[in-house]
Amino acid sequence: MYVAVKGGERAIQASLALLEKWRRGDKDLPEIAAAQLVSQMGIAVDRVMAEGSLLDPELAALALLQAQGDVLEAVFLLRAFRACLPRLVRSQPLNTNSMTVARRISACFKDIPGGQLLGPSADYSQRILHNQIHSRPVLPTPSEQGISAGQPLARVTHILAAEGLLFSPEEQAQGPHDITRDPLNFPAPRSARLQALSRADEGFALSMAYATQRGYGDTHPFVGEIRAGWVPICVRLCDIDASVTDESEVAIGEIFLTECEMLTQFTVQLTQTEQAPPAFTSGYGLAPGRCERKAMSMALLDRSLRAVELGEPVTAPSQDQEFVLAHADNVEASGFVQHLKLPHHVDFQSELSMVKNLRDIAHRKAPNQDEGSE
Amino acid sequence: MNPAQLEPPFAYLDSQTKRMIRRALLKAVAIPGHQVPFASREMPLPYGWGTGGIQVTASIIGPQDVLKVIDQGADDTTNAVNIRSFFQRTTGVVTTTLTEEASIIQTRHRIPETPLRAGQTMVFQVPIPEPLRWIEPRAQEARRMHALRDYGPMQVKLYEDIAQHGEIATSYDYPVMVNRTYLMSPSPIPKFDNPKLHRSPALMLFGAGREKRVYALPPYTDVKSLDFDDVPFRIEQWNEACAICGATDHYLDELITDNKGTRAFVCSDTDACAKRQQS
Amino acid sequence: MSDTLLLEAHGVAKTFGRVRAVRNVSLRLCEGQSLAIVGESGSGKSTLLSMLAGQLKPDVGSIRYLSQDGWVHLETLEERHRRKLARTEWGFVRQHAQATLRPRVSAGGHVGERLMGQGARHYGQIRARAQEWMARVEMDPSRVDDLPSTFSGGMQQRLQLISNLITHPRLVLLDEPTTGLDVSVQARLLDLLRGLQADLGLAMILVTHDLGVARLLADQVMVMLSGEVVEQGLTDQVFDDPQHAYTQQLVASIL
Repeated sequence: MYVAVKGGERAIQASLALLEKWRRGDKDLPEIAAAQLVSQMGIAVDRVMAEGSLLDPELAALALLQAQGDVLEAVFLLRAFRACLPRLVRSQPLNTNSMTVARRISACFKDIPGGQLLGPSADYSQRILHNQIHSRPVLPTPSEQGISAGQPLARVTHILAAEGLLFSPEEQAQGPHDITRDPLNFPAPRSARLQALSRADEGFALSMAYATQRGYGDTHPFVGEIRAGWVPICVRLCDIDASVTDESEVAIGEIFLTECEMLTQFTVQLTQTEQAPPAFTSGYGLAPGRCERKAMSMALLDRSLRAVELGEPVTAPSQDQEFVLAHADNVEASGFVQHLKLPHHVDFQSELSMVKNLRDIAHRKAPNQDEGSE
Repeated sequence: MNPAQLEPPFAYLDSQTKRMIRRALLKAVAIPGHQVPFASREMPLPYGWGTGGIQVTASIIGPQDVLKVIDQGADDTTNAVNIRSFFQRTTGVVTTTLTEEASIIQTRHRIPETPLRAGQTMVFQVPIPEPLRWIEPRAQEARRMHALRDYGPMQVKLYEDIAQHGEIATSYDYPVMVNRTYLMSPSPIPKFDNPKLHRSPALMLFGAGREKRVYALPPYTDVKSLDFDDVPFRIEQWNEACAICGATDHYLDELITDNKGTRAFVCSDTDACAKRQQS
Repeated sequence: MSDTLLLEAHGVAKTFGRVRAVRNVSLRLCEGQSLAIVGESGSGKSTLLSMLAGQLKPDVGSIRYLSQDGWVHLETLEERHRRKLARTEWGFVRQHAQATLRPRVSAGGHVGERLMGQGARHYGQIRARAQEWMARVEMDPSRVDDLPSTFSGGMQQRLQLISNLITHPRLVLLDEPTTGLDVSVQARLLDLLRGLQADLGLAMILVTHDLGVARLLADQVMVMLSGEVVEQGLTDQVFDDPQHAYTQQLVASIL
């Protein structure tokens, strides 16, 4: 006779205890401090901040540690933490024109005003594995990093725009869309698309962007500009305190950002009958920290997703808003793919029942079935 | 900022979020079967693991509620345990395994065998809220189809099942018409449970966290499973009875009990099984 | 053939970028009448047909259709009404049946779809109606459950046709319906079309580059060149005694 199995709750407790044991690992080794991760694995921390949508390096590092290095898991921890945080104030739009630049290059011109500043990048190294690493201080100031705040650098796209060579869409009157407050609906406005892309899985964004370079979509991009460095966050006094009417801005801190503008080919169909004179068009990417790969992928995808408003035929998945944006969030993707591990036996039983039934029907039909066809 | 310093509010969600979800639920109840978008939050369980159901329960639960949580019909499956423990931690409400004692029942993939009564609320966890998804993957076009009551393609799909297999080949998440108006997915409950939706005295709420939609069936709503006049809707049947309680009218799970492949059939609803065993 | 006006276009034009695909076209079609629009590729005939089917909006001009509920203007028609008309009173047959037929829907499913869209709920009856129509166009009714890929090009075209006709539409639009099919298959299909048109009293607008097809199926013909109508009138008259140089050229080039 069958006896029902019990004890689900105890099994879970044991599983959690085992997880904690594996997390701590070898007790003879010192536990890693969050500060160490921030200092020496900054790019991993940056990625967790980007996809976690919360710019706090210490929390991101804690999440990474708790997640034993599983980046998606760390992102998820940060997102859950963020979800119910109160909103204090909305800053003014970030002005990257006044960035204290650590690195600035352009692929479009050999030399540019202010020069090609290489900054810290693996682009120019040979990929030989070193086994000696120098320690770095936590969140050092720009000058400690060897960067001095120089003159604001002229933006390549502005130079092109001044000559009438850059197509710019009309400014939108309403403020930016927030997809964490209003769910994404299609067709989505550009600010919603950019927000979705900024928190998209880097791997997915990378692959979709890669596709646009291989013929899936019609962009032939050049890096107009990449800039990475510190940008002040400013808020208006009247936004912090409603009783104050003073609109002057106050800097409340600084974040390190990487920004990318891609320039692409130039035919712009405004409507069925109207064509703008030939110009360049751009795609925009922005990522916290040194996520250069992410900023570039985002810029390529942003340009690709502008197909409809630029009058281009939508032929490739990278141009399809619904396809790209609905599958870009790795927290959603990971959850749903892995949910297949959850018990599904009731539905499976249902399927089993049905399959047996259909086989019965087919078997009964078989002797009478007319084999002949045209 | 020290994470430990932030105490979660009652039922985890902040009041703004609860208000937002309740407004969406009210809209859903006012338009039975229609999917209402809402700004789903990330929860401490992953998307796809019940966040929609959890958010719905979290927005409606109060200190006096009695909560039952089931997955695959049972109270002690891993996910049900996890979710119940989550609500115990964040609300302190009384929990129960007895269907008739619960005021809120959160469920994944089943409706209890014990008939529900007025005043109870069922909260369903929904993976894909869109019944047209496998016919029309584009959300925009699916929305248009709902708006225009353009459900011909769904009926064609059922026609094809009969033409190819001799009967309708859908066994769970079987599509229904609500109030003769909207096509709705009842969530992946087996079709065995579809009849329980029709004119139920309970309030049925459906939450899809990852897809960011809620929908609802107010009490006593007409819910009809799609079929043809000459190929009517039929529920699953078994030749066996439950090996524990002997029930022949409960949904049965088929189990393999040894390496030789011996089978046993047991009630999926553990509470209903225990009750029948006692009586 | 009646004198009741069914469809009227006035001063219709459509431009894509710098290309003026259709310029200033007007036409009138009565119930039961058939019109062929002939021209080479690039003449604008397919664009014109799309506008007459309500699939594309003209940049200039008006198109009105006499529905069961009175006159409707296609250039301002709501999507809801357009879909309803497209599935009941209108039919549209494309050159390539594969563009319309869905690979996993059987012949019966295709033919029965319009009925199911209108609320038909008896499987046996729907299937039987589908078989009736298959027989009517000389398709084997026992193949009602077969998928489109198992049919020849000519058969697929017949399937597309009857999927449209099952709701007894008043107006059927056809875009090169026989082009690309074997000559003998074409001939048979044209014959069937002619018969159906007479039996059902269909008004028909047919786009073709083949003058022979136009002669066989249409009472009236419109000759298009570079988006404009250069000549129109009774088919036999236009082809027997072409006035415009282009029409003369077309007629002369028939082997």
